[in-house]
Amino acid sequence: MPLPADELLQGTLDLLILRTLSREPMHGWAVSHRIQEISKDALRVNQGSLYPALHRLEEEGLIEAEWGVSELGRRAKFYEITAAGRRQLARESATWRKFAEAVQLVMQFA
Amino acid sequence: MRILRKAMHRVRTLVRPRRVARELDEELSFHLEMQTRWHETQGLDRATAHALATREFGGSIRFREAVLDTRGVTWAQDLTRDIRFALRSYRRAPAFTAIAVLTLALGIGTTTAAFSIIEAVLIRPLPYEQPDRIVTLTGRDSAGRDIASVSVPTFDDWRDQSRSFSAIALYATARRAVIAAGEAAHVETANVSGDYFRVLGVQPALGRTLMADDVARGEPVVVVSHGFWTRALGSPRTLPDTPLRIGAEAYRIVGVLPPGLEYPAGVDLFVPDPFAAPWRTASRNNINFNVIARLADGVTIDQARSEMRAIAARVHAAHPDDLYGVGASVTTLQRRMVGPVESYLRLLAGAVIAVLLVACANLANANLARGAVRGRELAIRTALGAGRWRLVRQLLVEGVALSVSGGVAGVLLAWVLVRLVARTSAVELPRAGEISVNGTVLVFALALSIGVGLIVGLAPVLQVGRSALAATIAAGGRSTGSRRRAASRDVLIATELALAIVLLVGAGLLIRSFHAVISRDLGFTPDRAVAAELSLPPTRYSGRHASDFYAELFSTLRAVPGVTAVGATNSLPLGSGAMGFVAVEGQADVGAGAGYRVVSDDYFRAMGIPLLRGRFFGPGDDSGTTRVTLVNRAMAERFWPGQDPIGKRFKAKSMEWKDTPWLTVIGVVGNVRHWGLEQDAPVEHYVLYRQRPEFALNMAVVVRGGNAAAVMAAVRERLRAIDRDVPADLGTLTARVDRSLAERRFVMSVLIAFGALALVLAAIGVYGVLSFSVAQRTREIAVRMALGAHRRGVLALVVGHVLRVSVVSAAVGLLVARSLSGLMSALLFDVSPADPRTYVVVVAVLIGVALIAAYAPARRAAAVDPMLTLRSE
Repeated sequence: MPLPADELLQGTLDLLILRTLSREPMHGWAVSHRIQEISKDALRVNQGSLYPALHRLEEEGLIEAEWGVSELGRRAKFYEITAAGRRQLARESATWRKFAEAVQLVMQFA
Repeated sequence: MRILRKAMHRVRTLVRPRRVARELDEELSFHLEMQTRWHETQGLDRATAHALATREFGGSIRFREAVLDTRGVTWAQDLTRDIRFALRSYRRAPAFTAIAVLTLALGIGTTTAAFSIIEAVLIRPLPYEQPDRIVTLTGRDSAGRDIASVSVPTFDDWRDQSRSFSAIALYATARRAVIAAGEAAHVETANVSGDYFRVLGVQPALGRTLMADDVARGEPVVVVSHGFWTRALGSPRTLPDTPLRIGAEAYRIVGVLPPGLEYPAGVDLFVPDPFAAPWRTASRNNINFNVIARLADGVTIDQARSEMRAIAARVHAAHPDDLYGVGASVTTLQRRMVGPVESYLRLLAGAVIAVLLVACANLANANLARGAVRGRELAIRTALGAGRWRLVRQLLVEGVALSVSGGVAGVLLAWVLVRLVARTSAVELPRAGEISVNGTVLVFALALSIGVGLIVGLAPVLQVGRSALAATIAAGGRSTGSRRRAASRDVLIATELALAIVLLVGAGLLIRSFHAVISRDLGFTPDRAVAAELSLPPTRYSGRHASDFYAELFSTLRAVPGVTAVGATNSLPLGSGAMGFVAVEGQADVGAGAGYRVVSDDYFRAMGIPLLRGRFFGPGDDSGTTRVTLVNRAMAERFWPGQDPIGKRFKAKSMEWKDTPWLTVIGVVGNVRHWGLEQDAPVEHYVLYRQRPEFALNMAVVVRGGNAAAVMAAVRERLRAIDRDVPADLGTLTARVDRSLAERRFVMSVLIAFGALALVLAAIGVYGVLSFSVAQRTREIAVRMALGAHRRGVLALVVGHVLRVSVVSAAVGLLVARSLSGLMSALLFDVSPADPRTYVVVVAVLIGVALIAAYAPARRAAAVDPMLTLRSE
């Protein structure tokens, strides 16, 4: 049963997007596809959340957008993580790890 | 850096909105294409893949709005769009818009006008140097009442002993005969001590002000007000060489005050006065003088108060017979000036706020009704992804757009009202000349408009907030008007009606007071009588000359057709009058107060004052014969209860400086309410002007009968013939009585106007809400009728609704009115703030008006044709 990514904890979608873009610039569809693929279909990003999130991150300067040519030979908007975005990603990843470990501990021993 | 980028991002969105939207569309369609391709790679044919991708995509419009929202299709852009949308939707409903703007204009306009008055009178500092340092010093009697004026000896003691003031001055005002540019007129003048202008800290517009030197040198100089400079002297550029004649003396004009300075109110001329003998040595109960002072640096008003308390206690201990210097009060000048009108201003503020609230409630209601109708529009927009905030903003913008339009009209109205009030106000407002719609007032009006707009806009917002939009759409857009919604409309009209009740109760109590006042017995007959107040130049009219002047004037006036009696007095009723003390022969009480008036033989007949016992003055009473007097009934009852006062004797102590001869009572006349209709008649006696020539210089001649215009013409003509230099103020006694009631009438009229306004607005509110509810319930009514309900039953349904609402509002309104009416008890006369008659009448009027307002909608409801209505569904 795939889990809609927008039902995850707030901020998690931003984290996933930043992490995905941290490897290489890609367009919106690729971001959602990659998340779905890597999570083995466990996470599915709804377009209704993806694009608002992308534009918000762009506005916050965590990612940058540029129009380029896609694999289809069509104009597409590519997103690239910025230095500020990388810093943010590092911070958020650490927080996330701590959180995940904590939840894990509680689930095991509580 | 980040902020800059963010700003750029927004600017781009704002500047190139279309391009941004187009790019977004392109990005989304690319996504769709990629998704389709992906499904194709999974083995689906193109059509199925496309359909699947589209379905996964969801309502594309929906998140297009969401993205544009995140991109902050910024406030400014939204705002212009919202405003344009608002204006368009208002254009589509011109009747609604016109009424709404008019309502707002009335509410905001009256509030703004009231604020301009309050701003000028209460809030704006006086136009003096450091005005908050200027104080007035007043005496206090043994009952703890403030006595506005003091005696010269008391002032001397206060000045010599106090350390709290850097300057302290004495002044006394009087109406005096002035000849300027060849015209004789009565002018309000002030005699001031040397430091007067140092206390106020006034820079003259021309020449100089008065100084301590002027008093010392005793040179006759005068400083004139800017108004007098313009009015009487024709505002010449330089100080004129021709002196101004005040009374008998010629005064050199040495300075002109700047415009807008009016303290004491209405005074045009200021002359220096040493306040020497006889004032300096007179009794401490001769209190015709006022004190102003400037606090010394570093001294607080509380310190000045405690110092003055100590001084007054000391001075009074040394002079225990001083009746009015028992204590001393220190009050800022502004407070002292504003004090008398503060209760009016408070009433005014309350009234305009109530009217404004009614106007707001009305519009909120109208907007609620519109909101219900627009439910579908809003629901659809929500479904299309417009955020709730977005819609809320839209509604608020609509409210503000409306109220700012109303505010603009309101400012125009305020401008007219302020002019009207400044010109016609019967309440003597201090600084009335300074009242204007200025920058502060405009800022207030703008803030008020926006505030009102937000409140009015908020009403439907609360509905959007809670209404189940999906349900509205599901119901086919026929919003049935939830119960809660109808209830909130009822609450609003009940509030309006309750506010109208509060205002009407206030107006009603004032009307009852007014009637109580005018139905009092004046003690004289004002109809068909003319009065001319004269001042004779003292140099030419000493001793017998004055009597001769009046004898000649009386005989000419008696010859005017229709005139039945001609008399004269030193002070007419409903104005000022002199108080004094009498010592009655054989009675121990030597300090008993009694007023006195100096009159001519025929004065009582001319005024229509009845003789109760004895006789009037006659030709046999003269300067050489026994001093005679007539007492009023109050005096007869006060000193000779149960006895015949004729032939009794008393001395009027403060009437004369030197010897005080015995006065023999020759008659008793009826009481006259000399101090005003609301006052009780004072204990008084009358003396004959021929036996008191020193009082005969300033007399008012009263002519009974004849045509008023003809009598006035005769007086003018006669004066020109006898002496051109005698100024005369002419008027009928009826006008004089009216003037004494003008203030009360004005305040009453203002409150009636506001009450009526609130009532009309509330009636419009009732009408609107009922019309709407009938329109909404047409189907329900039709069903009821189809099921056998009678038209009368339907009528009862609507009328019952109105009655329920108005009875609730009457109960609330009465409670509020009752708890507030005590605040206006100072303005009431002979009427209890809880006067049941007023309350009953107001409630009857209110319910009557509510029912009238309900009539048309009720008829419409009863006229519903069930067949037609149900078929059309």
